[in-house]
Amino acid sequence: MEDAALFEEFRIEAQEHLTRVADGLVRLERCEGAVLIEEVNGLFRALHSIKGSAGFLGLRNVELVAHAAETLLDRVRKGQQQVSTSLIDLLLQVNDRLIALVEDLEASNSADVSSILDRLKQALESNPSAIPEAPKPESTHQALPTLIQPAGQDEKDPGSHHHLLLDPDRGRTIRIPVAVADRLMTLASELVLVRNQALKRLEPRDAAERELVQRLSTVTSDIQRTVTSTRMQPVGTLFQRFPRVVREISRQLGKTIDLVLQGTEVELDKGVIERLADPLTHLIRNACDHGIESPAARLKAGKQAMGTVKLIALHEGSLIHVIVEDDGGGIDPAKVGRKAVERGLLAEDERASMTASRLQSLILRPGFSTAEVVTDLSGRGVGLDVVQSNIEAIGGSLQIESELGQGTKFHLRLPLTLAIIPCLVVEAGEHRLCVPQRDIKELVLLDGTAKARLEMGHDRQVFRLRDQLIPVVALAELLGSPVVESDAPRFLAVVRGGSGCLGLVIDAIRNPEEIVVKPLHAALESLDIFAGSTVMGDGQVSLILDMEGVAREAGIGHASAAVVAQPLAKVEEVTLVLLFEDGAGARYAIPLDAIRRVVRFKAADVQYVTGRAGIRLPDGIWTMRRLEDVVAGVAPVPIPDAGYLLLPKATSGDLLGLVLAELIDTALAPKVLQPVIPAQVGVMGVAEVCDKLTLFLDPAVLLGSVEGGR
Amino acid sequence: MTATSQHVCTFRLDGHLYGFDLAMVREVHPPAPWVVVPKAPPEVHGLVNLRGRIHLILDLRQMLNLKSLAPSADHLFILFREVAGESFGIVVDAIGEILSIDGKDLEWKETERNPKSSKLIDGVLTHGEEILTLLRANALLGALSHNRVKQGAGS
Repeated sequence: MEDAALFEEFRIEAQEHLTRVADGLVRLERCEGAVLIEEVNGLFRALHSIKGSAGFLGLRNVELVAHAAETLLDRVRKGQQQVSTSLIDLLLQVNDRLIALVEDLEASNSADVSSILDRLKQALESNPSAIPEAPKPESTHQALPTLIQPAGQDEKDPGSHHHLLLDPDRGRTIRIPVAVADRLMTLASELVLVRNQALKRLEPRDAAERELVQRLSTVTSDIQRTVTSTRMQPVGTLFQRFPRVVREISRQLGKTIDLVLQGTEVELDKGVIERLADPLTHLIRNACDHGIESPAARLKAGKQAMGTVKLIALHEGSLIHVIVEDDGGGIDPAKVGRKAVERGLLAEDERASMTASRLQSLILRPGFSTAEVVTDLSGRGVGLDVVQSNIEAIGGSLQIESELGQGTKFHLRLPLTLAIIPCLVVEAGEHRLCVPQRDIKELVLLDGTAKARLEMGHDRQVFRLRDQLIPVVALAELLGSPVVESDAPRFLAVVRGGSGCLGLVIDAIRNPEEIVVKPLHAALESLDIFAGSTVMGDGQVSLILDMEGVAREAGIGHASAAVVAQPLAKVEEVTLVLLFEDGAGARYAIPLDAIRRVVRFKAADVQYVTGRAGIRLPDGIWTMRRLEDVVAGVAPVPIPDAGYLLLPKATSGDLLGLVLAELIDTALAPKVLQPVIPAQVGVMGVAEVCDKLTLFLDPAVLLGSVEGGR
Repeated sequence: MTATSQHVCTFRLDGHLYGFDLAMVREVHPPAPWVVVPKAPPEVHGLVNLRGRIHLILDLRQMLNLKSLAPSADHLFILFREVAGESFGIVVDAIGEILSIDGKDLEWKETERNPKSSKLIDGVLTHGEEILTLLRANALLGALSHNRVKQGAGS
């Protein structure tokens, strides 16, 4: 029993040392002089400490390998051995071997370490001045005097191998099982709950009592904050593996790449860090492989031969930003666009209307890879779409910013913690449930009007969301609540699920709440409609819906997903429009190709002639018309103090501009519009754009041909 | 397996006297608001938050095929130790005394007609005028039926 505990202590200790060694080895190549000696000393001490403890515990193989590596490093330190790439390679391999041995200590003594020892021996013999002595127990002591550091340095006593369990580092950290940390977290949340309930009941009678209650409250909050912080880890623990990754890749590719790490002290939930490892590795490889150009190409472009990849972590509000930035060739939107059309991801006319940044983000689509040559590093079929879905799975998002010739920036936004997710609390029948916000695409109020009602499609209720047909699930029925006929307006939550979208009918929306996810009781695991459970602010348990499970339960699988996909697959007839508002909240759209330009004006620019407003522009005096002048039934809005004047492309001789109170955006909108009933002069139809009902102006109004239509 | 002498925590359900090995019982808890788990097996009474830990509460009436009355107003939860299974308990009408029984007292049950509940029953003995049925706490979670029952009409 005691041995097992000692082994475990050693394993953890050694793993920490070995991580530091791997880190240090990569740095070794870049430093020289005193800094180099300092680095080597650090590595030496780490290996020395492992060797000492391994000897103490009778782990012969670990001791032998560590000793040989230590001897080699000692010679570097004494200037008897040059730091070369092959030396560092060898030492990295030694480190890998040690990591493997430490991983399974019980089996380590029976492992075959002869090949790595032979190679170490060769390295030592290549310089005939010294041959490593066999690791005798005394040898560790002989090494001691040279190791003693000047006072004040933050280094361990090198003799610490005898006092493994008294390592000074151990005074600063303790290890506790994750289960205990989780339990503490639960109890802290419960304490907050009890505090909240107590605060409601307690009525302090005097200042002294008030202060007491106040203190209880503050201490409770502090406890919760502190306990939560135990789950946090600096991202540095993840970042430190990348220098080595970059080093290896750049050598394979024949590039020189410098990796700059920033913000390694930023803290993230352990769970997030663990699940960030793969996507981040992929992005770094991607930056080295596709981002950074070959040295020749870089020199030709007037850049330094050495490329730089930056890995930056920042904490901002409740989000952590992780940025992978390279100073490489950037993403060529034209090339991406061509590829996307080739692969059938994009229609030709769609491509023409897309902005550069939208074209660039196409590389995140499944089935996309721009690598001209499929290398062994990236382009192995695992695309950036997988990275994106991995990031989204932990509640984050991925964005690309790229400037052709300047470089590319992958911008990750991540939640601080996995354990707490924002949810929407909803009611269905007699049940109160949580729907994770990340699953919700939009909410529709079902008020029974033509635009917002459910229809029957064969045997299933469907909802027409713009031009997409989505299957509908009545949540209360699905959960087995009795069907209640009611006229009360209900809601439709459009959620991701069942390889597409899914409409969830809910009776009421309560409030958004940040919840701590707890796994569902093991005995209920077969209920896949729930992703977990949680304790709500009122102390009651609530269940968290799993949309994939809900879709399965409702029988919405691939078959109906095809029905959903069909109207989507057809490339929509779309047109680019300018969205604006009239100052009273109503939204309008006008096709972009009908617009010459839009100018900004201030009240001072406006001149009035016989009741008409006009503005002098370089190409003449434009008459300013308001929306109510051209569209029937629009409430009059005075010309704003500052606004925009839309100048149409075609004019019928007179220069007529349209006053826009507020510009919103440009957007893709369907060409096919729904008619407005009753018909309205100046309005072609209506459609939903960017989730808002938008009236489409007839471009003819800009010509003045419908002037006086009211 | 029954030790020669054991302590039994007794309780009442629908007027009958039952007992669990005291070593399996962690605590008796006053009622707390519970949440019904939709689509769960009928034996699941619900989930409750007890001191920050979510417990699964089972409805023993269902498991023993007793008349399914609603729990009495002053019902209690018996919560079990980890040895019996992960954070769970049952609803009982009332808690009884702790008895010390001798293995010799057990009158072994006849094969039950209901295979579901028979797995739960350790043995039967007389206690004064009454019959005390000893139950196996560690068999409770395993006895949950996992064929989900569809409730309500779906259309």
